[in-house]
Amino acid sequence: MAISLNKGGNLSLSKTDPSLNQVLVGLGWDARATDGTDFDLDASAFLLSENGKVRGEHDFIFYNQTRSPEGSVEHTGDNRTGAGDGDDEAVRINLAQVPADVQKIAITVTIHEGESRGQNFGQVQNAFIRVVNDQSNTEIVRFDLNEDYSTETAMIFGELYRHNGEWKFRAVGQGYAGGLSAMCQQFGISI
Amino acid sequence: MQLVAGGNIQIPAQDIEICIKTGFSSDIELDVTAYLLAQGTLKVRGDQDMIFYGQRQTPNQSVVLLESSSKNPNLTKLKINIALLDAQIQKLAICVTINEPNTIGNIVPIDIELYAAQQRIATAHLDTRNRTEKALILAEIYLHNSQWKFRFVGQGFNGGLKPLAENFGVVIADEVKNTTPTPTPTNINLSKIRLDKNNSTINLTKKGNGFGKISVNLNWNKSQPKSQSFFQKLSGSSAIDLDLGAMVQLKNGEIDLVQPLGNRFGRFEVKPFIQLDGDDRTGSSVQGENLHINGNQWDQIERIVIYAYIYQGAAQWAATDGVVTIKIPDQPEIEVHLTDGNQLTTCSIVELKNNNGTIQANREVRYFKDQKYLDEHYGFGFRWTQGSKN
Repeated sequence: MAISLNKGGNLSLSKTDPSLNQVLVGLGWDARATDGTDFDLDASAFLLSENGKVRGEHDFIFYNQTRSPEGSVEHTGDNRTGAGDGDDEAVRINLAQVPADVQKIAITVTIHEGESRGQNFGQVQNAFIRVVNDQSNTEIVRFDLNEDYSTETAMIFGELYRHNGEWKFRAVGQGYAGGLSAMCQQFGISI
Repeated sequence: MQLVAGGNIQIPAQDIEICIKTGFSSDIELDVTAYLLAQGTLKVRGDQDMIFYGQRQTPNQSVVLLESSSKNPNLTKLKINIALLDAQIQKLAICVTINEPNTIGNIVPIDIELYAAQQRIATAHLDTRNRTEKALILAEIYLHNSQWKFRFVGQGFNGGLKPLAENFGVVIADEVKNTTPTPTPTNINLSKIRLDKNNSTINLTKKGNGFGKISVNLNWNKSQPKSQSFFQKLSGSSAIDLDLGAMVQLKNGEIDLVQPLGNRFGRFEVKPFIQLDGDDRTGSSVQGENLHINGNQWDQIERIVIYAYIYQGAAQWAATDGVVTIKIPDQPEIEVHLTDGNQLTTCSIVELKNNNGTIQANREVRYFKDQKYLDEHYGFGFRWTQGSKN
């Protein structure tokens, strides 16, 4: 049973699920049935140091850079239409292997060129993002993007962060104007 | 609250009214349809789940369609009582379709208003400029986490009704490819005219040289109970054999008869200009019984009475779910349902009269003991003897 988190809600991953070591962030949506430009949703991860910025461009894991150098964070690759069942894109995170100077990992979901295409999550069918224990395949947190974030084109889904030696997850659920490039700027990547 | 496309709102009351305001020129036809979609499949369960001009409400009035006669401005209202909706229904898709060759881009912007318990709780504005769709899903009313919600969708299909209907699980049969070609795709199921007790006559005017190949189909439901979907393919075998026939009177006074009994299969190119396809004796053919009228020779025809009779099987008509469909190229489809049940085995379905060159189609649905009594009623004057099929 997934836990439903309100915006800003905190959840200790290791307390909820002590076995948690491998985290999967899954993003899924249905391919567009109507005529028009496909909905291309993208999941990304930013590995952030104490100051809330990336250490370098290698800390931005997305469709064009699918693996962090040490391999702790890995993106399964770009899906541009939503075709297929279940998670259409996923980011796998091995918590134990995350470099010690990475304090938190921000997970974002954006619609590629969503603003210029006039698209938002509400126009996409069955769009969701979720956190799953990748070893037990248990869903921990899930957002229905097309219901609860319908008018957004980009959002910070949540943050995995270190706290007193354990990993916690904070559901952020904050919409974001400007799409992925604006997020990159916030996290210290110049495009 | 002004909703953008994709935006949703919770509906705080059971009784809802959706007002769809637009406007268009007199040559444009716009139809609003509500598709009631079942839990799990998100498809219609059958034709009872489509509310449109041919079926303006559900039996218990959970959904009622109110159309205005004015085209500019045009106001369509849908009244929905959530509490009365069948428990299997999880979503209503509210759609507009527009006739060929127009697109949504040809009508003025659509304004949608959502009322709950007489209070306006949301509006939405759809800019129609440069829109290429011929069918749009305007909005959805749907159940999410035990809460009914409304979403402004504004997405659609350039191909119009067919892909829209198929999206909701409505099977639309393809036209037979070798009939007279038509310049525009025909919308088989929804552009048709249903002749019923309230709407029993229609006049069709010739376009071009004639009416082309007029196809009459009789289909019936051999095994399924009446309540089942009409969209489902008819299947299975049965002892019931329904036959389709026609009596024709030509302009020169000659009369003729086409029916399987007596092996009178007729001729298409020459008199009587009516031909029966092979007899579907087993009832297993999904196409049912078909006959074709040479509409290019309509000027030689005075009148035709199309009828059906139960050759075998002591079925009541109402139990057969019999439907006769008349397809005339470039004309709306005509459909007649054999709804009344009684023990008389012969039923006149429709009379086609040559009215100054037009086809005047009259719904008949009169029941007779046999073809002889039918003949007497219509005054053709055939001589009758007992017969049976070989």
